[in-house]
Amino acid sequence: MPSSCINFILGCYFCITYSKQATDRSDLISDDGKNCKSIVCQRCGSKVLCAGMASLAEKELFLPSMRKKSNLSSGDTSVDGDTLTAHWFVDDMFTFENVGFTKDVGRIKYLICADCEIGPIGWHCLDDKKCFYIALDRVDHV
Amino acid sequence: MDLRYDVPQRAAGGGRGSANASPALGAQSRRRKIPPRPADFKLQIIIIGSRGVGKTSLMERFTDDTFCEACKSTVGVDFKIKTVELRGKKIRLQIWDTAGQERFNSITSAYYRGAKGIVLVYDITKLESFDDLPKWMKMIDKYASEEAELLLVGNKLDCESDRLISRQQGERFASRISGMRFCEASAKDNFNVDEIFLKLVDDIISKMPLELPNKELSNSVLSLQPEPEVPPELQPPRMRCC
Repeated sequence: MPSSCINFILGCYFCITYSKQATDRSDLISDDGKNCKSIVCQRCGSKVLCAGMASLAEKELFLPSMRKKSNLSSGDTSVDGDTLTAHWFVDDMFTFENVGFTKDVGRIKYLICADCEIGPIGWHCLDDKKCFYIALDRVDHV
Repeated sequence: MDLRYDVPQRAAGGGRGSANASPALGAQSRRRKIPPRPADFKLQIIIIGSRGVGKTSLMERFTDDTFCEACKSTVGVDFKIKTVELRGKKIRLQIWDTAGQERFNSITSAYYRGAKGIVLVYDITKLESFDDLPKWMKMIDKYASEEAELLLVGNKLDCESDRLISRQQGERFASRISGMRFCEASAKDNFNVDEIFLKLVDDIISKMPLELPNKELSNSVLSLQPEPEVPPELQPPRMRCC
């Protein structure tokens, strides 16, 4: 699938470029390192996290693409997606206003919008029950 | 389906002196410093019922298939955290849909154990889904907390012409079980769906002490993966009361 490969490469390039450009996230982060804006679904606006509830975390996480059909459960390496490093972190799932959890993919549960179910917007590993990540690039800040 | 009901509108800048913070917080001036108030209640709700009655539709909102096919159909949604406001309280719901585990004994007791609310669903056009209700009640009796609020839902009201279970039959079943509410709904038309959850939540919190600590559920006690257990021995189905 050459075209999807190209898309993937372009996507990666875009993400890398974007994250380099977006390292200045001061407008999103308050003095205490928390999100100073609400975190909402890019598609339907459903509120995922209230302002001040999450802290910024750097961690390389692979999230399958939001817009491409892909087979998450196949486990093959051709899953289209992005490795994202900037995330909002919370340590309790009940901190979320609205969020959905997918069924397990290996030891991972992906986080999705609770209302329109777009996703994955975030990542949770069953081995660490106190770590929930929402990718900055996959949500809006209002 | 949209379960957001009254999703708090305290969006922008909530943590930094939001002007319209909920009155339930009181007139505490320190709210400028502290994060937005956490949820007042955390409740676990499970949706059970026989295969094909529309449990998942009650939890999920209908979406076009443009987005994340992988999440929706291949992997599927396990549970959702939803926030509602009711009686000035902010309530976090953890809603479990047991789709795909419809054999009575394949839903482990972990699902029932922590549930404050149980939505038992049948399909008004499928006789067997109604006939299965006593078996589900048996599971509830066996595993769920006695205080769990029960709501019986006759789903697929949009298929009125194919109806096989009358409203009265549903009512009658529910009336024989103490504290069980009943309603009919259509997840397809989103009819009565929000109301179902709100009604259930209202029943639950009206029973709760006013200043209950938030510690009821936390990651540590919440089992994301209900531990597999030996399937329970099922007695012949019986009603909770005659």
